[in-house]
Amino acid sequence: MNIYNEQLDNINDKLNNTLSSLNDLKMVETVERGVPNITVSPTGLITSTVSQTEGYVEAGTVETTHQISETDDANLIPENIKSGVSIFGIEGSHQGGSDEFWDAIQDGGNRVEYQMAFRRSRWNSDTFKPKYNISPTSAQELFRMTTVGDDTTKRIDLIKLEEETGFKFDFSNCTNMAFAFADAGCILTIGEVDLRKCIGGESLMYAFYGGYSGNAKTEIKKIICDENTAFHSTTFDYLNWLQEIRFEGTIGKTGIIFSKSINLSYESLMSIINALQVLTDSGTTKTITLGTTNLAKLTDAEKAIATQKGWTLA
Amino acid sequence: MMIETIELKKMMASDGMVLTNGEAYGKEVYLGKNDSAENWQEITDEEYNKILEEQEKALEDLQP
Repeated sequence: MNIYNEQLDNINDKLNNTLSSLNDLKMVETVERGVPNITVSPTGLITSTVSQTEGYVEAGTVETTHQISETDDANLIPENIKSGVSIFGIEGSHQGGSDEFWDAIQDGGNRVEYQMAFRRSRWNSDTFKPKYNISPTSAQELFRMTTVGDDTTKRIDLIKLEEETGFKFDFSNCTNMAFAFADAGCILTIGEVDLRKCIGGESLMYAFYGGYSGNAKTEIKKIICDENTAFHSTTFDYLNWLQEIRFEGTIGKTGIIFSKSINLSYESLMSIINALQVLTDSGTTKTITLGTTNLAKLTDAEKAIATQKGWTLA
Repeated sequence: MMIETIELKKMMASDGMVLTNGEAYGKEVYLGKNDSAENWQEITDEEYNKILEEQEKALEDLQP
């Protein structure tokens, strides 16, 4: 009996201790999960801080985001990041030292006299990145006798440059382009060129002449001209690689030579023929020299378009 | 329906010769409506090449 009483006492003690512990337990509240706050110090230290109220937090995930921007550092702007580089999603626009160079060479965007501006220098698609549009009133020898250097794949594609960057060459106020692109070894293509103000006798002499090092030009997107545009027989001579050229307007003042441009497309030849001014009423005759290879690309009926207008084809 | 006859006058230089009117040159010439064969003469290939050399020299003299 004593053994059982002793055991019962033990059980009671344990029960009393358990009941006492239960009484000490608090009721736990369910609380909101803390939301992290992200801060960025001027030295770039990113700190995430969460304040959590004591209580029961349900399982789950809270996400906070922070886009690093100039609000974290006023220097984090495009102008301070190298062009072609992106830092935290901010695209750079700084041309490095070339920004100052182009500001100087283009007079802060105010320059209009561009004669000999890039002549006899080495230029390529990596270095020719004008800061401002180029709208010259004079452009004699603009790119004359330029070179591209060892990497000929980096010839300047002016059509592509204009399409991709918004940069524009505007020749609509240019009165003289003699030798502008003559022997321009660094040039691959040329965009739209308005020649209607080039009316002086020699203003287009050798303007696009290929020469020995400059005959790699493959395309001239558009020549805008009228009956007063003073084309010269040498304007487009020796463009051996030229494949595409388009004329908008009228070829009238004089004949042009394309005989060395044996790679000219049919569309280019028809553009030339369709731009020829009608001379028959005036009784005069002028000659377009296309050469045997290009003449073979045209039917007799197409040749007759030119001859009926009063132009001789050679 | 309209039928139109178009005349195309073609001049071909003899072998070893080039046609010229004093300004333009070519092995074959399609005369414009106001042009005539009398305006064109034949010169030899050698004479033509000499003219080209002179034109290139003239350009060299214009080198900066």
